[in-house]
This record gives sequence, C-alpha cells and structure tokens, in this order.
Amino acid sequence: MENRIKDLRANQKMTQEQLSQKVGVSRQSIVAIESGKYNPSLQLAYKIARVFNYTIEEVFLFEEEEEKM
Amino acid sequence: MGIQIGGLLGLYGGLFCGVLGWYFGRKKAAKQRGLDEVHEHIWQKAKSFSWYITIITIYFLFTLYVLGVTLHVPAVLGILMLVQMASWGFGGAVLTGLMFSGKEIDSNFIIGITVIVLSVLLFVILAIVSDSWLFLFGSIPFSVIGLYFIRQSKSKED
Repeated sequence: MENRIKDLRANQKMTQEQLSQKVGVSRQSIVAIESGKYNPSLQLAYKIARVFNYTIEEVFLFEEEEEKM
Repeated sequence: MGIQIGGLLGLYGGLFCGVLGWYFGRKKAAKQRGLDEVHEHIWQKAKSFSWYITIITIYFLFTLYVLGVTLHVPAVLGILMLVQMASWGFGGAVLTGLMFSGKEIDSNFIIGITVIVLSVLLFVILAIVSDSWLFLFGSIPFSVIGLYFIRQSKSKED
C-alpha cells in the first residue's frame, strides 16, 4: 500500500526518528512502512495519521490488488 | 545405556544460555522501541518459515530411512532441533534485513536463497547420517546456482 508519510514528514520537517518516537515504534519500522514493505495495523495507521492531523485515507492510499492464488 | 552427564549439560546448558541471550536481547531491543508490530510480524513469518524447512527435513529423513540408511535417534533429534532453530533464526535475520534495507524483494532473490538453504540443509544431513563430510561438497554447485539467482536480483537494482 502506498502512502504519503515521507512527504508529510518533509512538510513538517520531521525525521523518521521523531515520527517513530511519537507513534511508539522503531525507526526501522517507519522505514519499512514508508517504503511500502510493511502495511501497518489499523491502530498504528491511525496513530501515524493523527500525528499529521490527517485521516487514514489521506495518508495511506489503498489500491485494489490482484487476487493471489 | 547409562545417563550421559555431558549430554544433559550440553542440552540444558545450551537451553539456559539461549534463553538468557534471548531475554537480554529483548530487553535491549525494548529500550529502542524495537519490540513493535513489525518485529512481531517478522518473527511470526520466520517461525512459520522454519516449520516448512523442518517438514522438508522430516520428509528427507524418512526417505533416507525407507532407502535403507541407518538413522540413530540422537542424530535425527539433533538434526531436527538444529534445522528448526537455525531456519527460524536465519529466516528472521533475512526478513529483518530485507524489511529494513529499503531494497526490493524479487522472485530471483527468493529462489536464490531457497536453493542455497535447501541444498546446504540436505547435504549437511547426508553428511551427518553417512558420517562422511565429503557430502558437504555436494551443496557447492547448488549454492553457486543460488548465488547466481541472487546476483540476478541485485543486477535489476543497478
């Protein structure tokens, strides 16, 4: 799932470490989420969106995926 | 067969050292918020991966038994324990590296790693049950093939 976390961080001049401290995960986890390697849980997605004062849908861009076998 | 004190010391001493290392590792990780949901996700995936490797090992050992190879209980139990724990740790380490590296995981990389792991695993087992270390050389050509696939994966990133 794509997201706008990197852009939103840049707008607020926030580092990955600062964001990770605010939402209670490691900096490496923020790296994984930003790069799309890991889709956060609903709870974590909500915490991240709340840091930027956006809704989840405005931070995380859901796209229909092809069904896997 | 009498009680083997050395065996008991090794078995439970190793367990004690392992648990101690695990406990202090978690304590250190917790200080850096490392025990988060990504960590849980990685190690759950690694645990399930290790069971796939273990079932392959069980099938392989059964095949050897059916083919008439003599298997000894301590060797089989030791192999299963080593395979389960090593594949759990290896899987977790690889997943952690891939998750946090920022690089893309593609099918060539997965194929390469799988070929290397399975070839090393199966030939090590053959070496142990046959008591002949020469079997270890058998994994070399397969490992080269695996490395080729991994190299193909890295070439795509360049």
